[in-house]
Amino acid sequence: MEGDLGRVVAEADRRFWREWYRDGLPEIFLGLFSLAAGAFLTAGTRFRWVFAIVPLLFLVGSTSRLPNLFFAAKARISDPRTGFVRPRQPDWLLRGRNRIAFVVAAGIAANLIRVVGPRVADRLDDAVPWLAWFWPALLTVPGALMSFAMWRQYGSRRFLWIGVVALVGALWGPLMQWPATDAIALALIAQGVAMLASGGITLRSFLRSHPRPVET
Amino acid sequence: MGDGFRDLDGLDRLVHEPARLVIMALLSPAESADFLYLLRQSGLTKGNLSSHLGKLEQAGYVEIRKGYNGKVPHTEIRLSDAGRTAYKRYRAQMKRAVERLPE
Repeated sequence: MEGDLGRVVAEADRRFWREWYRDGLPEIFLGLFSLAAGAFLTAGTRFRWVFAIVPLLFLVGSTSRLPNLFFAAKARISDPRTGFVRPRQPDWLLRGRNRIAFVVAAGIAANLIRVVGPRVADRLDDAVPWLAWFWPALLTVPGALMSFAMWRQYGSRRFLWIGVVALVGALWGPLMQWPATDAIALALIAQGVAMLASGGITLRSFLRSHPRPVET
Repeated sequence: MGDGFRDLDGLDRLVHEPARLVIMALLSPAESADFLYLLRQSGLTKGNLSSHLGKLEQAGYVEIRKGYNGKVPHTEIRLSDAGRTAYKRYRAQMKRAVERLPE
């Protein structure tokens, strides 16, 4: 009986998230975000003010707009086919002030990394030369590892392939000893492209296997 | 009566019914869901699902809100705070009961 109960509860949670990712929309939106973030980093360094302000504005704008667009897409595409469901959000995230504080902190952290990172890299170059090139991977590899974790958790092979592409993207720049900004940009773009491709294929498959019910 | 049996005796019968347990398990990770989602995930018939939702609503374990999405009727269902507490309590009791039952 304990096994059955455990299966009902564990399966319900896993089943919920499997259904949530079934239409590919989360990957598409995250992929767009990742791609946009990577594209910003590839902008020419003559636009230094762009790096100071635009990423912050982008983060603030996208974290307030993107969820609305995402849920609107879910409502239009998936909900009529599989039914409406929304995940529980952690209580701290529900408060608007906390959201804004989180986004501002992330923006400040990103800019600090951009400013301080090269100086740290210079110092590390004397002490631990390989780390001077490799530190961007410390920021980008976790994204790939998350994809692997999702593959293990939900059994969907497409997360494995996203993880592989993201990992290659995360390690390529440091291995080729690219400047940190370029290395991080490549990792974000690789991850973004992988997610968009995976999400697009998944969405197409979802639309074919879940025809819109005829309204009576 | 042994401890394991006593624990079983105290189980919430409303939650213990398999169909209602499945409904509550499906709603537990969700903020809210609609009738179609529960219908597809639970495998219950429409009548069965309606009936069990009615009983859960009567007990105050679920909240059911009826409205419209544009012109399409839309029923939103969520576990109430009392429902979440009852579900957590049921899980804990069941776990304890099974651990104490003789092999």
